[in-house]
Amino acid sequence: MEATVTNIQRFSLHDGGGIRTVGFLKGCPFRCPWCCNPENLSYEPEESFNEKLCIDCSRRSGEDCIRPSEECPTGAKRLLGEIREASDFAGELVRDSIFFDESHGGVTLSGGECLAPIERQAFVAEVLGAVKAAGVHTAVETTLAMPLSDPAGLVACVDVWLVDFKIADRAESLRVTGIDPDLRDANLRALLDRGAHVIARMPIIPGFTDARANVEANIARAIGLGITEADVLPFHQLGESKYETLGMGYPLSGVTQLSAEDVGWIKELAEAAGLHTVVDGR
Amino acid sequence: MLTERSARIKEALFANPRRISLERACLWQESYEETEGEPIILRRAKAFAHVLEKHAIVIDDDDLLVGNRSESPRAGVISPEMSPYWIIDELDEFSTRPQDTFEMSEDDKRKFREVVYPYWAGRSLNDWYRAHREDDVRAAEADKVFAVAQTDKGQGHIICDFDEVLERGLGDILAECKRHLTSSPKNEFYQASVICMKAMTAYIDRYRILVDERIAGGVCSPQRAAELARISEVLGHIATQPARDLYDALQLVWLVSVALQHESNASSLSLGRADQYLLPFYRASVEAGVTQAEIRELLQCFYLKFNTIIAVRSTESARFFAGFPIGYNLVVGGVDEQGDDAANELSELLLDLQRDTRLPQPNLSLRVHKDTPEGLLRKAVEIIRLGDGLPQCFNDEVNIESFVRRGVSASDARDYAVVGCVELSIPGRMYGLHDISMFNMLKCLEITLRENPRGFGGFEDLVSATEATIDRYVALMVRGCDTCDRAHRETSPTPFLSTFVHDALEKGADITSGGARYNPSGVQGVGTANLADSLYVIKKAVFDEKSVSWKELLDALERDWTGDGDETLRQRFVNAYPKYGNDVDEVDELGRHFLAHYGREVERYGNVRGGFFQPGSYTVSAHVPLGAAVGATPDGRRSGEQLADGGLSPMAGRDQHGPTASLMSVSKLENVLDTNGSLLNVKFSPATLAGEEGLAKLEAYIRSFSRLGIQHIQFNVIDRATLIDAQEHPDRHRNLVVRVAGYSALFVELSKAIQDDIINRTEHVL
Repeated sequence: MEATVTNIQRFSLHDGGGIRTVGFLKGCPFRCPWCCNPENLSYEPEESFNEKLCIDCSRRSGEDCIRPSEECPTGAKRLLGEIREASDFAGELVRDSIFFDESHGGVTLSGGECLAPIERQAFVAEVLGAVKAAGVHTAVETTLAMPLSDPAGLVACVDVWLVDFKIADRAESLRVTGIDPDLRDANLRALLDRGAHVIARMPIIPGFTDARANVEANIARAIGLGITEADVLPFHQLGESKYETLGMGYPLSGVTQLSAEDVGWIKELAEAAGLHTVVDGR
Repeated sequence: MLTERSARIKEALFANPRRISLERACLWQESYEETEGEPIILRRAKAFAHVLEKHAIVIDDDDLLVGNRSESPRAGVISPEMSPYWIIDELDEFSTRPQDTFEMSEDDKRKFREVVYPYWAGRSLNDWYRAHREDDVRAAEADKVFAVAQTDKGQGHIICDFDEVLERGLGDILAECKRHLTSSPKNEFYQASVICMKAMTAYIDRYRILVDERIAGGVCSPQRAAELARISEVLGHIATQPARDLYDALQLVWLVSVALQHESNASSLSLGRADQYLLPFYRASVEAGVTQAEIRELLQCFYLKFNTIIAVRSTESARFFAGFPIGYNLVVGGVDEQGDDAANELSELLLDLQRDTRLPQPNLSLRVHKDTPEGLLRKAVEIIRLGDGLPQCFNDEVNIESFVRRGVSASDARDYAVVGCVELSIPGRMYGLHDISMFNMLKCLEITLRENPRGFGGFEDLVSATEATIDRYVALMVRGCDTCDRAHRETSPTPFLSTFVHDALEKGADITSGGARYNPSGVQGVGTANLADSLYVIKKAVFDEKSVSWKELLDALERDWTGDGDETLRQRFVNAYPKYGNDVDEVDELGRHFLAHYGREVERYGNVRGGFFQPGSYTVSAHVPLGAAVGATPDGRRSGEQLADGGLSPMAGRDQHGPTASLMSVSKLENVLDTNGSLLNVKFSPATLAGEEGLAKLEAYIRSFSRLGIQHIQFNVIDRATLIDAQEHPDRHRNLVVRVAGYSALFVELSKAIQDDIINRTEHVL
């Protein structure tokens, strides 16, 4: 099977435990305004242009450059998204297996939304099945807000599920992001029943997810499902320049970043409710 | 934390500007003027004894350990008997040169010009070397492919047998020297050795007498009087007897180290496996009821002493070895003679002291193996996180086998330690000329390209031609090294040092004459990353794709990328082709091929002491001057730009897949060949190492390094300056990855405002 991959990032340190290699799959059906990986929204390969790296070699600066991305000497203009075959992709993901072994790390698939559309779930299962067969721990980062074609098959090849808990109110969540938290919870019950290890990931976005009521509702949902671990991810602005290079508008321009201290109260609430909680991800 | 006393000692180290001292040079000359016509080894022994007898010794009010090489700490002690030339040339520049400055008084300058220089001109080690260096070696040195080192200073790079010094005592060793002399009365080495050992005993006595005078003067506090009485008692004992406890042991190791400097004035008269040889004495002190606080203060004083001695180098040499590195390498951990873990309670303590002193000496090293205890590794990563680059890690899993393959016995190999920066040596048994030359493999490619303006039929022909260039210059380099080796034998034997190196006393020969048990010469192959990257670009662009002609390539290099369209070509060469250090087999294989080729070529040659040449790969800071000697290269390097740092490290900024991928690339090299030692720098951000999690990940990284069979790794911390440079020169820093949960981007691709934010948060997310 094949899917479009934007990046393989080795030595990732906050994506499911230990030293990990993260594979980013391109495309997402949802539209969180705060998305920090806008290059993974569209399912199609697309060009990005980083003016800082351009040496103006075609004498036609910036957007007027006539060179195709494959001829750009500096990498200022790049085609994001490469179609990869599952076994070949898996082979590249496990190259750091010695480091995974020593650090209790492994491979994480992320995105975009790696489990949507539903057809891509088989690709994820094939890739992570091969990774697991190589003796490597696996994880996915997902909203889980889509129908699952084969929950049992996925549970068999995913060791840790990093599942988003963003806007808890269903109507609000559907309106702002398109994510259906009830569908997610139904999926979570199906996975947890089959013994899945789930960590609730709570991105804390000023004006969207940081209200006390929302935080409490997310914690309640997680506890209600029997989840015992949570990652609190404070809002950062690291995605902004990627919007520029893609020629996209950035909805959260100028919003202040949060520090670990700013979200300390959320960690306290979650811990008090019985969630083992880490800020910035483990 | 430093105690109040230690803090004052540390402050005093840097209280005054560094000064050039002529004291040793004048004493050495005084003695030489008296011994004209005598055998050289006796002249050296007598000059050594004269320095020990006459140089100004001092005791500072805070000293618990005594022994000073110069009257004020951190003086630049020059050795005109090795070479007066660079000194006279640079006499007026010591205070203004770009690197490692010293003050020098006008009186001393005059004295040097009028008295010292005229005596040594024509008589120095350097004169002998230049008189005997063959013309073709001289010409090759001018090509800047290699430079023979230690032609103007002591050889150093050795560890004496501190175990024996402590366990037998100086008196017993002197008795052995005398026994040998009785049975071989004409042996000049034995004669010299006895002179040196007697001088050493008398030297310790000088300090004891000075201490006693201080006590008798009656002006110190009762507490200080008691301290001085203790020092006096220790000195009285160790002048001839074995150490009894840690106080004796540290005082004896330090005084022997000072005397070794008086003799050789050399870099890297290193300390070896201190956690092993100090252990019985540490335990004796603990059993005798000495408190941990007292032990810690004594060890602080010991560590601080090694920062009182610095190396003054010529301007050229200081470019290669910046920052006065003196190479007091101190090793902890590793395996014992049987191959079992040898770590002990002192291993962790000796690492932990770095937390107190925060100085470059001793240069701490940890030997890692598969059974290195959790506790010791945890201590090491805590100290690494301080950001001083210490301890460096050395890997028993490859280094021991590397020695065994070269004929070192298994038990000796398991006892290896480190001299200088990263050179591997066997304490008390090896005189390894470990830093005798660096060999610039990238320069060999440049020469090959220039010699072949019409190009080659295929890539393999270029590979063969580059190998042939390497072979040609290796043959010249080893002859240059041998000449330097002989120069030390003929002009600068070291009988005091030799007395502490097996099997010099057994053989009756100074180490410069082959007295040591093991006698390699270590020569470093440098430029692996740039050579592999350059050849891979040529392979793809010129031979496979045929997108650039040979002439176009050579013209662009000749122009240093200044012609029309050259920058586009350069950028393409930098960005479109994978580089060494990213776990890409095709290009890593070229690195493996050439470093292994160099190593196999080098090891074919024997040296003048009955040993063999052996390869290593490190640059310390030499990647800057070595790069300055090479024009533009096909990897996109500009003319004169630095080479990849370290030795095995990828080119700066080109390792874009992070520290695991770069380690995988380095592991593909035939690391076991580099018995002389190799160097790998890895940079981590403070954020990577933050918290308990960060420490655990660094431990895992080091365990992986050990499993991968890489010889050495040293960790530097990415600082503000690096990030600011990355804002200005994004092309040099495309390896800075922002590591945040569920996110992926390079630092250089972020907006200026966000970059500034990261810089101001001290690299919180990198």
